Amino acid sequence: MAQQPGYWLDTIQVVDRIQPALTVGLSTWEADTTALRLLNLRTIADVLPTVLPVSVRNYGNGMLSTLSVRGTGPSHSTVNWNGLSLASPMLGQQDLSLIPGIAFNRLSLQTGSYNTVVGADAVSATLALQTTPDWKTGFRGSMLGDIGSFGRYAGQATLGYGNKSGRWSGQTGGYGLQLTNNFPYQNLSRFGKPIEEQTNAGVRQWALTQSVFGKLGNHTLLAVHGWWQWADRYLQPGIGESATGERQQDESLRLTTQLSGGRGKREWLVQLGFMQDYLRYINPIANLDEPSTARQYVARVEQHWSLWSGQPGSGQNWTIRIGAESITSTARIAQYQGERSQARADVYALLTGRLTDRLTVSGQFRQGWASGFAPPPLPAAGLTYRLLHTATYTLTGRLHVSRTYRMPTLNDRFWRPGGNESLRPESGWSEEGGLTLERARHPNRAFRGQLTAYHTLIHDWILWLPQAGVGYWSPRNVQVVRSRGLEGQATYIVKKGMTTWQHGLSLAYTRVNEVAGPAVQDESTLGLQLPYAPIWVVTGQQSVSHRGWTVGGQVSYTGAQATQADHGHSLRAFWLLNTQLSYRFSRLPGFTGSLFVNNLTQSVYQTIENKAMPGLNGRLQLAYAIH
Amino acid sequence: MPFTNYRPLRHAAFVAITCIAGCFTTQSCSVTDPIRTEPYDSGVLVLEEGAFKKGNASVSLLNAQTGQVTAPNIFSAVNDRLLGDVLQSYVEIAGKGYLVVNNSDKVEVVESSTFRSIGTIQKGLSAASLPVEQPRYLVAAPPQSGQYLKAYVTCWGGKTVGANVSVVDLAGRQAYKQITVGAGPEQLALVGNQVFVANSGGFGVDNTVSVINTDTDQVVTTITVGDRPTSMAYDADANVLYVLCSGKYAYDYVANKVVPTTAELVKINPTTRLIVGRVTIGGRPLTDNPGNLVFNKTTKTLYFSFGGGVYSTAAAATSIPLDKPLINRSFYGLGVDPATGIIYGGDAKDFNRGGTVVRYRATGALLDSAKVGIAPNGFYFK
Repeated sequence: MAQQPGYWLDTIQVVDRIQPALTVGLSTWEADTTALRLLNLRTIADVLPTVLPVSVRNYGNGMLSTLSVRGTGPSHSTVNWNGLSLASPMLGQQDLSLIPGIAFNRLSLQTGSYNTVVGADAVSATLALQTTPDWKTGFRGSMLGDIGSFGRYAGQATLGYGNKSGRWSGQTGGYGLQLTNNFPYQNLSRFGKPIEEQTNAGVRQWALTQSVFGKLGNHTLLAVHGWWQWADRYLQPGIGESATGERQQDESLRLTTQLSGGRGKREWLVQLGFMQDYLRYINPIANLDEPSTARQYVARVEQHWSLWSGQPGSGQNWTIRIGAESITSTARIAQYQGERSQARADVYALLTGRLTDRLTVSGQFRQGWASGFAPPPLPAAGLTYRLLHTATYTLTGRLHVSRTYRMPTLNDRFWRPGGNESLRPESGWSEEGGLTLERARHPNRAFRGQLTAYHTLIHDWILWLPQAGVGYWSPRNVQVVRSRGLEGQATYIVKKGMTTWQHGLSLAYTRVNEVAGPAVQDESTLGLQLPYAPIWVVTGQQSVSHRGWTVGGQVSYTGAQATQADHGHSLRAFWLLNTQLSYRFSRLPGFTGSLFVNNLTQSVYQTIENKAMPGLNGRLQLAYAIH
Repeated sequence: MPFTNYRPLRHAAFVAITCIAGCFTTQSCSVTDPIRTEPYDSGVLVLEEGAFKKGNASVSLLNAQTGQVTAPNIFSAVNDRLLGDVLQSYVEIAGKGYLVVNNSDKVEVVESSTFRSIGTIQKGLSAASLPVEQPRYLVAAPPQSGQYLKAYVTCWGGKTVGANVSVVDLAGRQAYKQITVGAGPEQLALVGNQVFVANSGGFGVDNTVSVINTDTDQVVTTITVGDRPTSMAYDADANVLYVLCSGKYAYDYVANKVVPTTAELVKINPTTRLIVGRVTIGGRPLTDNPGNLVFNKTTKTLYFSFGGGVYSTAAAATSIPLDKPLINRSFYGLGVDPATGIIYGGDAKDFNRGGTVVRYRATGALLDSAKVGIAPNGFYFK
C-alpha cells in the first residue's frame, strides 16, 4: 500500500515532542549520525560532554552522571524517552550513565524552558530520546563488541524486522557492559602523591529493548516500546576517601504504548506509560541496605487540528493541539514510612500559526494540578521571523518567553526526617532570543548555525539545609537564582567526491548566581557563580570519511568551576580530546573495525570534587551489520 | 606584609627570599615581617572536617588574641597535598601533631611547629600494619623513661574489623594491636595508667565506658553509664572523670519520629572506677541530644551544646537546668581556651561553604568571628 504524504501520520511526528510546530522561538540541536555512532556501546554520560555545550557532573567514571544546562541543577532539565520523562520521582533526576545508546535511535537537545510542552522540570533543557520505525521489508541486524582499557568488555546486538505488507515493523536490542574500572589516578592525599589504581568502582550493566510499530487500519498507528535496564555498580570513592564497599544496584522497566491516528486536518494520540525504578544502596560500614521502588503511571490524550492549511490564497496556516495528561507516582523506601504517592494532571493547549511566509508565532498554555502543591499556570509565547532569505542562506530570528517551574521531589516532601510537605514548586520566567543561519539545501554542502541569548529567573529554589536544634536536614524554598548567558552551535558538512567532512562547534557562556530575595542565607555569596557551573563550555567536533575510512575527533573545554557556594575551592579548567578511527572492510561486507582513543592528552580532570576520572584510555570495537 | 603561609612551602620560601631581597634594595621592609622558621608553634588550630566524601578536610591557624585567621589550610600549604576525608580530631604528643582523618582510615603525623608531614599511620604503608578503620580520637599512653612509645586510637571499624581501640607504635607509626571495646568508641581519657573509652554505640546505642590498662593493653573493666557516652573531660584536681551521655538518638531513624530520651552527666572516680554521681540533663527527657562536652579547668566549668544553644554548668553541680543557654547559637564544634577561658564555636553552616569560628567571653558575650574552612568541628589550643 502506498503511503501518501499527509495521509498517514508521520510516525516520527507522533512520538516527537521536539517538532518545529512546538518549538517556535527555541533552539534545537539534533544528533547527527557521527554523534549517534559514538553512542554505540556507550552511555549518554560518555558522549554528551564532547558534543554539546552542556556540563555533565560525573561522580567518577561510569558513576552517577547528571546533566547541567545553563548552570542549573540536574532537576532543572528533563530526559524524555518516547514521551516519558525518565527522572525518578524520588530524586527528580536521571543518571545519564544508565542510558546506553541502544535505548533510542534519535537524540535531540532542546535548550530553554519547555515546560508548556513537556510539563514540570523542563526549566533549562529537554533531552529527547526517541525510537523511530524502519518499515523496510525483511530482517536486518547488527552485532557489536569491544574490549577496552581498565577491564572493559561490552557488546550489543540488534534485530530489526519489517513485514511484507509494510504494516508491521519491530526492533529488538540487547546490551551488556562489564568494566573493572581500575584506572590509574594520582592519590593527591597520600604522602608522595603516588599513582594508584582506582578500587571499588566496578560496573556491570545490561539492557534489553523492544519496539513494535503497526499500522492498524488505514488511519491508525500503534507504537509499543519497552526498555529494561539493570546495573550493579560499586561506588567509586573520592580521592583520599578509603574504599567503603559502597554499592548501588538499579533496575528500571519502562513500557509505553502510543496509539495515534487521524485523517487530514484532525489527528489524535493516546499514550499510556509505565515506569518502575528500583534502586538499592548498600553501605557496609553504616550497615545500610536500602532498597527503594518508584513507579509512575502516565496517561495522555491529544487532539490536533490544522486550520486553514492548504487553502489557496489564505497564506496562513494554524495548528492547535489540545491535550491532557496525568502522571501518578508512587514510591516506597523505609524513610517514607511506607508508600508515598503523588498525583498530577495537566491540561495544555499549543497554538502555532504561520502568519506569513516570514512570520510564525506560537502561543501555549499549560495548567497543572497536583496533590500536595500548586503548579503555577504556565503561559509561553514564541515567534520566528525570517530576516533574510537568499538563494544560499536563510537567516531567522527567534524570540521566546515562558513561565517555568520545577516541582519538589518525593524525597523533598516525604523523606523522614526532614521532608517538607509545605514546599512550593520552584517557578520563574525565562526569556530568550536568537538567530539561526541555515544554508539552502545543497547536495554537497550543509551549514546550520544558531546563537541564543537567554535570561531566566527562578524563585523558591529548593535547598536542603541543616536545621538548628533538631540534628537533621530539611529542604526549604530559599534562593532566587538568575541564569543568563549565550549558547552557540554550528555544523558544517561538505562533500567532495568520495570524501565527507563534518565540522561542529558549540559553546556555552553561563552566568548563574543567587540574587537578593526574601530568604537569603548568606549575603556574601550573592552574585557568585553557583558551584559546579563552569562559565565557559566549548566543544568542537571533526570527522572525515573517505571510502571505507572514517577519522573523527572531539575536543571540549570546560572552564573552572567552584565546588562551594563561597568559591573557597574550585576545580580547574580542563580540555578533553577523544579520537576515533574506523574502517569498513570492503572484503568482509558488513564488518567495521574501530579504534577509539579517549583523553588523548592525558588531561587530569574532575567534574565533582576529588572524584578521579581516567586518563588516556582506548577501546577496540568490531561491528557486523546485515542490512 | 602579613606572612600568611597558604601556598606550598617552596613558594612561601620564595616569597621570603624576595622579601629579604626587597629589604636590601628598597629599604621598605618593616620589622613586622618576621621570617618564621616555625610558623605554627602557637595559636589555635581549627579542625575543619570538610564535606563528607569530598576529601577536603583542612586545618587553619587562628591568633588566640585577635581571633583572626593567621594561616588557612596549613596542612596542604606546607605539604602540597590534600589532608583527606573528614578530619575528626587532633592531638600533639612530644612535638608531633596527630591528625585523625576518619573517612580516610588514617592518622597523619606532622611536626607540630611547622606542620611538615613526617608520616602516616595507615594500613598498607608497612607490611605488618593493622588498619585504623574509621578512626575517631587518639590519646598517648604515659611516657616510659620520658619517651612516648605508644598511643590509643578509637576506631569504629565496620569493614574488616569490629569496633576497637588500636594500639599504635608511635616510633614505627603503625597499629600493632586491636583491643575490642563497645560499639562506636569515641573520646578517650588517660588517667594514670588507665585509658577510659566512651562507647557511644556508633550508629546504634551503647552505654558503657571501657577501661584499658596501659601496661597490659587489656580491658580491665567495663563501666555501665548512661546511653551513648560521647565526650569526656577529666578534672585532675577533683579526680573526677565527667562523661556526657548524649542519650538515645532523639530522632529514631527506625521509627522515623522524635522519641524523647534521657541524657546524663555521669561522674566517675577513675581510681575506684565507680560512678560517684549522675545528673540528668535538664532533669527530664529531651527531644534533642546534648554533645560536645568541653571543660574549663580553671573555672571548673563544663560547656556543652544542646538544641540551638551552648549551655554551661559548674562541674560540681547536682542539677543542670536547660532554662537559658549561655550562648543562643548552635555550633557544630565547641572549644574553650584553657589560657583565657574564651569559648570557641564552630558554625558549619550548610557544609557547602566555609564555616565560621565565633568567639565568646566566658560570660557568653560575643567577641568576634572569623571565616574558616568547611565544617569546623573542633579546636586545639597550642
